[in-house]
Amino acid sequence: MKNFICVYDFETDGANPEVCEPVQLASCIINPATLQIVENSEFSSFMRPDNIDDEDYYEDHKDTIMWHTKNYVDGFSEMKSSDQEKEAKKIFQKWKDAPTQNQVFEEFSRYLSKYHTTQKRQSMFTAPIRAGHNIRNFDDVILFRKCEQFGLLNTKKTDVKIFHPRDSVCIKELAFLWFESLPEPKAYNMDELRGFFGMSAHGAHDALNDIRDEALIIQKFMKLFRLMTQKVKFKDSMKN
Amino acid sequence: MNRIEIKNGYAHFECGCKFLVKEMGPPVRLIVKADTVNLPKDCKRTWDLLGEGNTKGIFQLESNFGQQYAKKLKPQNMEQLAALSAILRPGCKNAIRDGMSVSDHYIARKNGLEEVDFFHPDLEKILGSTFGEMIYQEQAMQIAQHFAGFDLKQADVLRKAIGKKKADIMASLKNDFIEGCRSVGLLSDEQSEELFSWIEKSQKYSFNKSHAVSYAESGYTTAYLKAHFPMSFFTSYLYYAKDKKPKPFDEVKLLVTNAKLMDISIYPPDFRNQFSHFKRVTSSIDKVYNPWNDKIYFGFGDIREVGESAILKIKKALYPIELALEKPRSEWTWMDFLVFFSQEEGISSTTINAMIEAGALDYFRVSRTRMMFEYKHYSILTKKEQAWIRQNLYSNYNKSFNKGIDDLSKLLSETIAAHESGNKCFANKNRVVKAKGVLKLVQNPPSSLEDTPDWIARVEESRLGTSLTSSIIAGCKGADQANCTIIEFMKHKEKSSGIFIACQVESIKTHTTVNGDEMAFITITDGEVSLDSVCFSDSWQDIKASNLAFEGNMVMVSGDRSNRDDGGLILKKMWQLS
Repeated sequence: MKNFICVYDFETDGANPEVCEPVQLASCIINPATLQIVENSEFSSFMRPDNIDDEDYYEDHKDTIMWHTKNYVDGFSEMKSSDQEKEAKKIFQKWKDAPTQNQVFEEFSRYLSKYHTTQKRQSMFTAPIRAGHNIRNFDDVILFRKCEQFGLLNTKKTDVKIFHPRDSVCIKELAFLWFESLPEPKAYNMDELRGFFGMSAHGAHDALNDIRDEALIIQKFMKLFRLMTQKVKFKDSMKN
Repeated sequence: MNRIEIKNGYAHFECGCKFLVKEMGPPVRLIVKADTVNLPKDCKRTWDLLGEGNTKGIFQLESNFGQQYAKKLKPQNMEQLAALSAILRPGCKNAIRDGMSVSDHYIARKNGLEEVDFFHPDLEKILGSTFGEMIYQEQAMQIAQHFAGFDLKQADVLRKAIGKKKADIMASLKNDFIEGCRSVGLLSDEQSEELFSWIEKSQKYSFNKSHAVSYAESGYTTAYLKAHFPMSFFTSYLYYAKDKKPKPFDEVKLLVTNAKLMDISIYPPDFRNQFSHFKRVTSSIDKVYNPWNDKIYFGFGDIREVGESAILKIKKALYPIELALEKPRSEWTWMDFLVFFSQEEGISSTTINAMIEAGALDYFRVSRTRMMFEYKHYSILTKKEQAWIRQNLYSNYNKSFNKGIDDLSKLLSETIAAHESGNKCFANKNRVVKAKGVLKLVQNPPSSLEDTPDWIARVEESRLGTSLTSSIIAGCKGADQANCTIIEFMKHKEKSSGIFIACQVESIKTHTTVNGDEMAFITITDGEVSLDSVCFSDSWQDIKASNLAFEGNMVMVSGDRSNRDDGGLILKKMWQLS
């Protein structure tokens, strides 16, 4: 049986994946046979940054918190700055009250174990394939760092054990390969791709909304690939 | 068909067999006594069972080969049953005459599809009982005695050569045989060469008749017991499946499937029962005794990763908790189990998860996913914190949690509230943060805590070897359009065309025909039973082009039943299930 595909996304308190802390994790599962999103397979949880109790956390991360607040709160830009500050504090409090990262990762690991190709003798190779937008440069880096912290790496410490170690699907890379010769889209970030595909930008940058959109794009690309692999003769095509 | 009438102290079956019954009780139970020594050898029910190829668990006939041959041969008496043991051996299967094995000749002749002729009139008295086919060592000895004048000693050397597969001795005996035939004068040289070639071919291990008859006796006895007492039969076979190395769970799966084909339901383990291993539970009895109403339960020891020591620990822990709660385990709630039993010293998380996944706690009416989720997160609390909860939030007055605490979320809220109002439940601030985290997760689970049918099927298969309460197909959209399940297809042979089955593709083997066309043998499964089907080249081309036929895919297949003896499925179309 083919491995399930897990589309996942972190929201973080910073832009550098080497140091930032994840504040939200969301994912959903694509059935590899039907390429449909598995019903009731969504995962979404806020999580408490490890250093949120530091005195200057709020001030240090104010820009990011404001940016997230802007994405979550309708009409944020039109608000008075004092109201914007209030809304940002609410988001900050939400992060503070959230379960710890360790608890969320433990739960994420339990959730993923339901989507192995088999329920017996599970290993990394039966685990879901990770997928998402810009995962190689961003989400995977955070994932590896946090899995290392919470003991979710394999024994050689080379891979996270909750996902398939070899395969992954990155929308940003797919988009480059398909569109590099075209004038549009001008960039391959999610906002640009959403616009290009005609998807609604409402709720963008909420991890759960992002993974829903990403899953639809992956679904579309994979269906296209399956159709094409039937038509194109790959085998021995480079034989002299 | 499965009803048994109790009359004048006897249980009467429709086949005419009757057994002395003895009432036991209270509660009233009927003990049926079977005399296994003097079984009637003409029981239609038994011969029908053998003829249907329902030979799982039947001595010497339980392999796939045994099942297929029993179905083809349809033995009707002990002579034919003994012959069945012999024709399954390589001696008969590999001895080819006119492009067919001796085994196939025997079956064709027995079923009247091939004329019975004897190579020589004198062979009739030697091979008459086996339709002119030489299938036993004794027959080879008799031929050598009669046609080549072998004495008993020489005939015994011949038997040994056949039995021990000694090709060199067989070669040296050939000259003696031809010479002997010349002196007796019943056969020409050509005929004696031909007859010896029969014997020679059987050297690859033909069977001796005495052995075959004793096998037939044991086979008949087991078939008789299976036909009349299937509940006891399956309970005991399942009980000993654990000893079937190296894959006891594969054996369990085959037996459960076979039981389902005989309308016998097997149930998952049940925490209330506390059975260590497979056990039959007799239903309440009225005047009509019907053992098919009994239930066979898995025991804890039949769950993967629950060992004997874990069972002992479970049993040891139960009684004190029942005493403390002042109620039997059958009246426990999930919260009782979670707060008291699951955290008991020595009961590992592996055991608890295995019990949940196997369905042993389903009587709490909480989804298995939720139980695993709550168990995992409740276990984050330390032993001290858990003890505090037991002592302070559990009311000794009515032996239940304080009013209003009926789920984990409320329990944790009360605990945190109690701590914040001055009761020192948690040792430090960090522990409060952890507990609050657990509470947040429990209040807003990050993912759905509903069980999905395919997950239930997969965990049951992993824990018990087979899925009992769900199917991998059940959750697929469009599966309800099927008009037949695999079990129904196997049971109800009258369904012949327009068959629609929702299934998973288990394996595909392609084959190129003599015309150069590609066809496929596709095995489909619904997680419980597998079915081999054939897809001829015209249908296969369409299915292949649709890119649906790959292992693990969930599909709807349609087709017709083959007119051949095996009545298999001829697969014609395939659609995607989602």
